[in-house]
Amino acid sequence: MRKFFRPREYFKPETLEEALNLLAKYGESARPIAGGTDLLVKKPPEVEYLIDIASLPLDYIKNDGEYLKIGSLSTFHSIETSSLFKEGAYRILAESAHDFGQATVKNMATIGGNVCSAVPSADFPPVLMVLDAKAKIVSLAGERIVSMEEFFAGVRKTVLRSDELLVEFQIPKPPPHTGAAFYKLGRTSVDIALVNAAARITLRSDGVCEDARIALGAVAPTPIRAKGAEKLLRKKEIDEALVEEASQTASEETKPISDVRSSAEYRKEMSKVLVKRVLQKSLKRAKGE
Amino acid sequence: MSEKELSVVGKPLPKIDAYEKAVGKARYTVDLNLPGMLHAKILRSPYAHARILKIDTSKAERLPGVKAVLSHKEARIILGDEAVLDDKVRYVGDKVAAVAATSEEAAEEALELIEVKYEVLPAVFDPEEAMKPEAPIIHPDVPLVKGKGNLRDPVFDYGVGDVEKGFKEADYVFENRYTTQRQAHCCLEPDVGIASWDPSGKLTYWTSVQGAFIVRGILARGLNMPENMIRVIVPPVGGGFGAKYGRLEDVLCALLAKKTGRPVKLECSREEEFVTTRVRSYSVFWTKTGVKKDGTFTARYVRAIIDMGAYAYGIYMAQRAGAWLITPYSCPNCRYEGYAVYTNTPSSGAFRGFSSVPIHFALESEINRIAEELGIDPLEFRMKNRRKTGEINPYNNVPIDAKGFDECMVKGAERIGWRRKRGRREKVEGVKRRGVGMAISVHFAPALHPDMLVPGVAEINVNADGTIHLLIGVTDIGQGINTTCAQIAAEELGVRLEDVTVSNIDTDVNPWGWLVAASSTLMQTGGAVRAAAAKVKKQLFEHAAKMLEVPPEELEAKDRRIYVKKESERGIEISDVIRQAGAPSISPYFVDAKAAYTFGAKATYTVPMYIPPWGAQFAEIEVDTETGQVKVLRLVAAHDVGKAINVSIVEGQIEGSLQNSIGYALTEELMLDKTTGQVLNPDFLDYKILHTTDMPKIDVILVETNSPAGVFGAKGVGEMGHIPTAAAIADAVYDAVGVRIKELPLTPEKILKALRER
Amino acid sequence: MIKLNVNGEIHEVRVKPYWTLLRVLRNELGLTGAKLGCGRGECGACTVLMDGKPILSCLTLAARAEGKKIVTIEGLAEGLKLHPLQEAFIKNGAIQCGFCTSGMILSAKALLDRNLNPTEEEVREALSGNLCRCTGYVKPVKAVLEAAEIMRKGGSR
Repeated sequence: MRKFFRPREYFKPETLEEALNLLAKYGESARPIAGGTDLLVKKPPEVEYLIDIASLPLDYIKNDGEYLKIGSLSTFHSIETSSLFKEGAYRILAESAHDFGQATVKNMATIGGNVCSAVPSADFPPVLMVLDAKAKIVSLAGERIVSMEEFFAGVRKTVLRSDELLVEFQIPKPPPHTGAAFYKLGRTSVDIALVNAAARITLRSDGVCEDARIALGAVAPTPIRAKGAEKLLRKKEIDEALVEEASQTASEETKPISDVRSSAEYRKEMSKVLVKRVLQKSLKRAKGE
Repeated sequence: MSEKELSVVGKPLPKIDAYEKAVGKARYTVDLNLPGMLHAKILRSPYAHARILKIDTSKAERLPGVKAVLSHKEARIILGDEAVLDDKVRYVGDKVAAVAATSEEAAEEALELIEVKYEVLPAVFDPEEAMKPEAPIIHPDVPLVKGKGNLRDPVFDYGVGDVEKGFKEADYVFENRYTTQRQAHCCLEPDVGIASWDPSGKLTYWTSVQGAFIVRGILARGLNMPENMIRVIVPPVGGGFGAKYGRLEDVLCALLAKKTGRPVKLECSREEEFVTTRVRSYSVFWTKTGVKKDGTFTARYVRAIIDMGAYAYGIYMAQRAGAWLITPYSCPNCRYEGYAVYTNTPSSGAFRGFSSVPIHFALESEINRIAEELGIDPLEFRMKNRRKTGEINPYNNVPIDAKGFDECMVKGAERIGWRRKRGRREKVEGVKRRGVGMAISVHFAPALHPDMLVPGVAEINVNADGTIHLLIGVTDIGQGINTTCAQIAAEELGVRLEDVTVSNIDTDVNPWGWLVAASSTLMQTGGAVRAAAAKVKKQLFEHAAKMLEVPPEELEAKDRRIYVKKESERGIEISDVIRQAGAPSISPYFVDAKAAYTFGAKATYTVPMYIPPWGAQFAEIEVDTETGQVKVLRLVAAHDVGKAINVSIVEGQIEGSLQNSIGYALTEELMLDKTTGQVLNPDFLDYKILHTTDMPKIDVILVETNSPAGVFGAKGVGEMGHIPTAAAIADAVYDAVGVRIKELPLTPEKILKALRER
Repeated sequence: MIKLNVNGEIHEVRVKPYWTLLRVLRNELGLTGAKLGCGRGECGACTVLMDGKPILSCLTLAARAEGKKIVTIEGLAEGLKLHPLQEAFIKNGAIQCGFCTSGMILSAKALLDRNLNPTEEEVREALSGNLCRCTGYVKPVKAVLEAAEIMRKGGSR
């Protein structure tokens, strides 16, 4: 068995087709590399072929009115600084990108990489989940669209096959009176999340909650939706007591572990605190306060 | 020389090595490569305690590129209680075997091919467990206290008066238990060495270290060689903080180079750095304090349990820590017991604030608690109890010089707004609470102990044009000692800073020097520099006196010129003095020659007495009562530095200490698996040191008291900033939310738990 | 064989697929200003500029850097004339052991190249990926702010 990361070949495809051909050809022994900030730390010994996808034209952010489309090679820096995310529910993309990590890593790490590495504590998945994002996945066999909730299969596991590439995130336009918020709890200002949480609330014009979405990271093998908590909020007028109740419910929906960063108990408790905070903030924003 | 006349000392001049560092041209040991150089890697133990039953290196040796493999069979060389390679391992990460190969890859692959059969032994990871009689014995061959498991003999037990009597006289007796965590140095440049032998049998060793001559001694003993056959060169060093004082890996690297006949570079990975650098110890403090109602101490007692880990580098921690119980406050009855205990964990050792930092957290936290319980303001309580000038310090029978102690407290308190803010439990933004806290510190300066009276040595050579070449025996590890010593020489000799060149250490060239440790470098070596410069000045004055036709004692030197004190316009350029001293000759070669042997001197200096460097720090913090997170908003650090030879360097020492100490208070902890003893966070991802965005507003207040023991009045400043911070922040947390955390670091989980239990 | 543009010079280097840019800069080109502090992208000592942006050369494949403009600390001064950031770091005592310095200066350069009037907070953000164990960041931050001021007043570059 190979014990060391010693890839024997490096490819830098210029087109998507070229990249997909390489992935199809080399299968499990190949690995696409984007920002490199995960792969070159992990150094997986089984990788024999590195397929550098950085030259593919997948570094874009565009809004076609119906969908916001983010190329999977967009860096956290591009997202943090994009003028498209200054307001509305989309702003949590920029806010979470800002909290993502140190300046240098933001220039390198890509949103696609952050999602595909499927680390339970990743910051972007909860944000994408509450924004109802879908991933566009392509291979030589064609294209498929997978919702963020169906994308993760476990710790560092996704539904992506070895011949596929995630090329784009598609985020539907949020309805009016929608507010969203993201909160990350770290040990220092530059950290991996002990817990992170995102929420999106849409209000009807009478102030009743039309829709609520809550997602958390680092509290289960994959990022999760807190569906029980969401259900409590829908079609109700949200007050402080309801926020408290929903936060408690969300916390009960988590299945955290203890590790060097935090105990499971703390993660559970913080899930409640964070959900409360993102709900309060989302609500404020939905009301336009 | 009175202060107003100083022209180089006291100025915030740029460091002389900053230029090459700013352009990326400084070559650190990691940057050096020799022709034909091999790369070494060390196989490290996966077990915390095991005997090596069998080790087979043959497969590794056959791997292409591998030039040598060493195991305990060839390298069981024992220095103290540690072997270069042993047939027993005592912590996860202990050295098992070493490989030298033509590439790092080949060396790394070879490690996987070494077959080791271990007999796993029971292990113990907690010092209090390790002192139980039934604990597995880690070092059967060293002196241990009978019936106390791995407790190293001797137990350090000293003090003054009779504490039992003192407790009886007390109105209140307070008892407590504090613990402090393992802290890693995190030098950005990892440990590294390059060994190269020449056919005459001489070894040259380049390394990143805080004491070149100490490493030379380790190599000489480990290799059984005469010291003159070993040359240690220290290029610029990427940080020390106590981590780099020579290790048996140095011997291992030299052995690999000897076996292969080629230069060998042994560079630690960051993971190895975390696991094998001798960390600040995990420590336990049992405190007992007797006080009168009015706050007068009747007795103070501490039992300190210092976890040495696998090897006894931390034993001095246990020996010295009592100094910080006895020195700062008046109390007729004090007793200190220091226990040094082996465990199957990474060894502990020196780290900035050696022996001071952990016990200060315990003692100062306890002072804050007692003040609170007695209803006395912690600042007043300290003012009342601190030792007065002239009082004899029972620790070393030296009279106390408390000048600066009050000033640190008063100025610091004023800056933070102590009277306005203390005790208000200020509420901000719903769930957030603010508070302020304080603690004081005392440390080496050095000269605390007779055995710390290591002299500094300096040598000054004078060039024919009056510029200076200064050689000292201690290492510039970034703290700026080369610049500071250059300033001292320039001041004394009356030349400019740019006239002085200071070479990095080469043991074949430089005079002997001790470690950069115990805040002693400036005090000892700086003193020697001034003494050597004074000798050279005397030589210059003797010549100049003849030229100016006045007695030498009427002369003064400044700005490259020697002049008559009372008639400053009557003078002569130093370069002219030297030129005149050279034999008149038509050939410049002979002028230079005469000048070179006419002027120059070597001197040693030993600090005559212990004048404590006082300090007081004040923290303002904010606690999020829902998450338990602490944010430090402001840190005021007032320190008695004696005299700042270079203000910018001195501030930098304290500012840098605060990055280390705020991290120590809040986030830094080397964590071990409780069942295997393995380090769980050997990387910066999970060993959290503070980034730019984590640092609070910092106010450094330099209190200058002009120490009679230090060169130009200076005190040792390298460590003081680290010492009081954790207790000050813990006190501020109490002020904000009413809970006292007694176990460092102050993690959000601990704070929440305490809030719940309140 | 790849071609690398480093500090305006083109180098042809034979590399292995997994070699990082840092390894090539240090071992093949002898540019040792960028340091290996952790090899995991956590300390920032390896920071260089790639097409003007600070990146971690320990997590960048050398082959990826082909066709990009790489600037290392060695490329900042013009001959013996220092960049204002270098001047300010020296003058303000922002350099102690110096191991993080090249990364810090390059992170700062990228900031000042797009924003000559940064707030202290922006400077801290820009340097957030550069760990320093010596300075407490006080003087480096001050140095960057001072360099910005000098450059605003027309100090070179």
